[in-house]
Amino acid sequence: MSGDAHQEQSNQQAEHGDGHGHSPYQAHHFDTMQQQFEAGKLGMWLFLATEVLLFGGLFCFYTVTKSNNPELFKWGHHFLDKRWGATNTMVLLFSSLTMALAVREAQLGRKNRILFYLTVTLLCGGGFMGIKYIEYSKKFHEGLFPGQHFAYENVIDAEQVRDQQQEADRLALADLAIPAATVVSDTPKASGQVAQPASPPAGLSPAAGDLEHGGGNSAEHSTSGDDHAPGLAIDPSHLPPGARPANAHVFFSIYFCLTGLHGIHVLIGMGVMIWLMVLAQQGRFGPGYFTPVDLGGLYWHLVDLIWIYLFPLLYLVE
Amino acid sequence: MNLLVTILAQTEPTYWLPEAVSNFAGPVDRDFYFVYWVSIFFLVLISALLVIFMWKFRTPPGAHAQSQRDHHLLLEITWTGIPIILSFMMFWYGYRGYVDMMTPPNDGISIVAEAQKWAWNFSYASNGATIPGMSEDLNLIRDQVRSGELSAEQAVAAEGKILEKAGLHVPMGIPINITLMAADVLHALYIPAFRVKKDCVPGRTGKIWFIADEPGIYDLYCAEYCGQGHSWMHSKVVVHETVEEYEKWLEVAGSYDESLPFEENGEIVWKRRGCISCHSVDGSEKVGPSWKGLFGSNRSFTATGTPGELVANEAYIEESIRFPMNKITEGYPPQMPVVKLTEKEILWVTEYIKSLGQNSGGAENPRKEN
Amino acid sequence: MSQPEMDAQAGEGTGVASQTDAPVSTEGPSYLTVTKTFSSWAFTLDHKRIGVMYLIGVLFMFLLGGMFALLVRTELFSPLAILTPFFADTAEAQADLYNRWFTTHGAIMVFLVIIPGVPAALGNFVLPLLLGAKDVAFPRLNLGSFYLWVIGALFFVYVLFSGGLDTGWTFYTPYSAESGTAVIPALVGVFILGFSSIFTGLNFIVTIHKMRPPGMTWFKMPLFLWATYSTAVMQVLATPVLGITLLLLLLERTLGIGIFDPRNGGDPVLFQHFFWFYSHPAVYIMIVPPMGIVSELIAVHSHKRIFGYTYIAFSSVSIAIFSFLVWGHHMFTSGQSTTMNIIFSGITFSVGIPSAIKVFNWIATMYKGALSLNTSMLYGISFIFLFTIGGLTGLFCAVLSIDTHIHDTYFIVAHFHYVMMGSGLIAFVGGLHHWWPKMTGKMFSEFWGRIACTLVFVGFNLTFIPQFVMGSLGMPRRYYTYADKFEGYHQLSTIGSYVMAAGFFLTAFYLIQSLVSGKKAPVNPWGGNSLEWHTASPPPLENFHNVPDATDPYDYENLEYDAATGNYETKKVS
Repeated sequence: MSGDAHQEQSNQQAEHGDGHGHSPYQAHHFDTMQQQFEAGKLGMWLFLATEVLLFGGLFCFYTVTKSNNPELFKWGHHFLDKRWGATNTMVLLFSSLTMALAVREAQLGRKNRILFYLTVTLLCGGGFMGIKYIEYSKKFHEGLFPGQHFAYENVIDAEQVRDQQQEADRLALADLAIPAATVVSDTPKASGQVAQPASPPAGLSPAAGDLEHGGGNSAEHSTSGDDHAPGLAIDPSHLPPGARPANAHVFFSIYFCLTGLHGIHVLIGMGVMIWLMVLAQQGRFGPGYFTPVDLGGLYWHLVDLIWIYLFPLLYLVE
Repeated sequence: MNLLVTILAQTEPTYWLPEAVSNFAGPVDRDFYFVYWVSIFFLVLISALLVIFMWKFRTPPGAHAQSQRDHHLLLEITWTGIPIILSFMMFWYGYRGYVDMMTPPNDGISIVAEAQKWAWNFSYASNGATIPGMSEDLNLIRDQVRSGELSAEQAVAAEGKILEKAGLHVPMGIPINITLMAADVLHALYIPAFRVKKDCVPGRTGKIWFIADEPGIYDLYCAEYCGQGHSWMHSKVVVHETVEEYEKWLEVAGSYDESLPFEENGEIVWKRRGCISCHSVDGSEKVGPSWKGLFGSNRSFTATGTPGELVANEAYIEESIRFPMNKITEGYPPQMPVVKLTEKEILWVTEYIKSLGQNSGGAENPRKEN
Repeated sequence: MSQPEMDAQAGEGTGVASQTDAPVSTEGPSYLTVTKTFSSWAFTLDHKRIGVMYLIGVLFMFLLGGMFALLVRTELFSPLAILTPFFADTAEAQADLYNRWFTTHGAIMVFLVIIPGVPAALGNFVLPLLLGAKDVAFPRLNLGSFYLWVIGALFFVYVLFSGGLDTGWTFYTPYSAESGTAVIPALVGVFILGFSSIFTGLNFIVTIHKMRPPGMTWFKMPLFLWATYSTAVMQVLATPVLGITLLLLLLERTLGIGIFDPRNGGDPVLFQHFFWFYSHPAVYIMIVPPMGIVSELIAVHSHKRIFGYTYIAFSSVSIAIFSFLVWGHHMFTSGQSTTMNIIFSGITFSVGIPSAIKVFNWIATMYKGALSLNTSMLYGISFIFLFTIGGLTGLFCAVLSIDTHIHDTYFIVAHFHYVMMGSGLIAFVGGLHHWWPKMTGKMFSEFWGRIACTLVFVGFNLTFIPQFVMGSLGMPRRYYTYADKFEGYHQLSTIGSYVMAAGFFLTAFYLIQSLVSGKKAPVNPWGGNSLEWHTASPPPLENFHNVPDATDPYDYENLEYDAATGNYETKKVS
């Protein structure tokens, strides 16, 4: 096959950057290892540019929605857990460090250390995905899906319970002759500590509420409102303060699109780590040849970088 | 230049452009013919050079070129500079004409044009009347002319009859502000004779304005692809000579004759409010279920809305008109827009559906069999 | 670089990079004959074989897309239903069918034929040869791109057999979010094709940057490489945006995420911005490589140095840059803000200037040349004429006031066919003829070639000139039936399309015939001097027996014609 490397002069440690002799890793169509390395690196940077543009489309989606409907983000970000987000940021930053160290060790050709750092990076990636799994499953459990499947009825149920509790609190406190105004200001937290009413309010019809708030599509899901009786999907104390904006589901569309695409990239990156570990195990890397680790590292740093943007844009937006 | 002026002075169609009967037609045509003659000049120049060079420099294989000269600064500057200057002129003309189109006057008559699949409805601000485009009937006449059922004169008469209660009517010489809306997908209002066009975008409103110059009847098209009935979605613009004539027309066209039987008014509603584009009354298949034999039939609904079954009664019909997405009949797409009918219109339509045959029950939905 | 410097370098070129004095060796197996198993083709990493496989695929898709064009044109011969009643009973179903036809035609031609046509098929074959390289930088990625193209094409074939697609190739929302046709497989197909295009572009950029031979500076590259390079930049930077747009549309359709569909809180105009941010550069992805081909065709077959090399090279680059700034001119009537329309209109004119510069330079190249009016040259000259019309009618569309009238009419249809087909595909066919001897080692019949070219040229103009007229008279596009007053124009147009089809079928016949019984092609049948004419026809597996130094691609003075072999041979330079 034409793709096979020329074997006629296989100097195991062909000096990097010099055209004399062929490294076993030099493809036949390159004149020198230097040329091959530079080509690979340029190719990777171009690929990263396409990745940035791929995410760029989603960031546009974010920007347009944010500028047209800032209230969506004010409301929606309360459903995201800043602690998990911050932890994940730390995890990814740390993995970038270990990845950089792996590249360094690959250049020096220290096999065991390469493997060690790659393993740590891989574990960090796994940890990141684990945390994302926890976050996602909470959202799914609460019915906060992207798009049409967003369970408005869950939110509306919780809102009604919250409003009733607030009303009850206000009345109770009014009986104790405490000025009502001071109480109203900290409703969400305070009401969470009050025992929930034994049964949700009677005559609660999600379908009726949906027509007002959710737009046409949510009326289709009214059947699921029947089984809300014993417990609420969303804890009323976790509801954001303030009114729910129209088309609230769009925030979760953005959240899931951005973090979902990013998650896919993390998974691909983990696959790359495993591949690099196999290559490292075979003792391929050394001063003369470390292109795969270098390029894999570039990719991993980009994945990391995108998260650095996602975290404030989604979790810390106010 | 004289030739240009004579071309522009007329309102008759030229070889390239349709009749020019609005305040924008003159400027647009002037810009058009400016670009046109510039283009013709360059096309002739380039074609002539190509032909002359092909003739003059053709050689058998093996010949050597007479010259190997490969640059000439002055030429490069010339053929870069002249296009730049011409481009600026064209941009400027286009900009000037366009800004006029985008600057509606404050006075004038306001009309709302709402597009839906596949019908136009024009609502007149002065009395709130909604007048349909009646694309279906106009198409029918077109078909009948083609098949020879109607002569040209008969067609004109039949069209005139329809336009008494249909189409976009405007008076001459007064600014008309049209607000564009769409109920379902993208459409575009296009009146070639007025040189105006704009997309109707669901969820947004658009605006166009114009002053019609000549009384007459002109074509109105949907210019943005909107699916099956796109090419049938045309109507007519009727320009009245005076405001009085226009107002008189509006008063007659906008009212229902309440002395008519309910089902006859229901048929008018069916045509006027665009039901006709999706629901047949003869049992033939369209986007939505046919109304023939609908009343009293068993309906079963998909999970898109509320699943279930029931026998079609008056309450069901009213619900389907007011909240079309609540119950989607099995076999049909969830596409019906909310058409805001008045109480009376709903009553009349219901009677009309009843009159199209009662089903004593048991009939399947037609599409399930296919 | 200034012009005198250029010349100085060009003069040195022959001295510094001495041309291969020894006659080109035609011994040994060519890339076509070196191995013969199926897997040696299916898993080849050779850019020439990949190029040939692309070519076969693209030509097959061209046949398919062309068939749909003929269906559409035949149906429009009359405002009455002509063909559709054979396939559907009710008027509604017939209209649906027509909508599927024109959508399929557009989608296949854009995504499967014109975008990959020149860069992936011809470019793959020629680019490393022009560079004197053994292969592209990433041969495996290249093969991967090809298979992505195949998978994308299979998705389209699946779409054809699962009810078709009726959204128009532009997938405008909200119609595409609710259409009952096979939108999702089509979106997935285009998404995959996008990656194929990205990887091809990435490969070419790296190849041109890193694999030029010693002595070939940027300004000694053949102009086709400049064009391919500009195209590759657009492919790499624009296509990812299409990818994410289609992905979002897919999610809108399946989940209703609320970005493009107003019923879910989205904005249809946003989709148009996203879509045209890719698809406008895509128009130049379709036209810039053909411009590169024509630069080669005109120079080689005029046996004269290309006129204004630097201007043509920079005009390719500037078109690539401007292409990212003009997408809004597809949306002049969509309801975007007046200010944006004015800005986009202004920038749009800036694309016209480099195009005009190219045209005039090509014509100046012909002046005092030694024109061989063979098939490739005739296609090249047809290109200049058709592209002139395509470009000039683009001015009408860029002028805001005129566009308000002609937007979404047949005027636009005719305009973009002149650019994408009359220019893009004609140059592709011209390039195919130009490099056919190099690819296959066979000469085709010049006699039939010229007849076919004439048929295509006449047929094309007959098809689309009436469309300009009826468009400006107010005939909206994508209409299944139309007002009677347009019938005459439609009939002319349909007849033209048949003439054009006859020309293309004739081309197919004589090209296939040349494979069977064509004369053996010499090394340099046309008298070109870029590096691909310095190796055997067809080339050996690794392109060159002796890796050549760079030549001056536009120096034709040292070539002497040998009437006996039909070959141009390089004179010894002292």
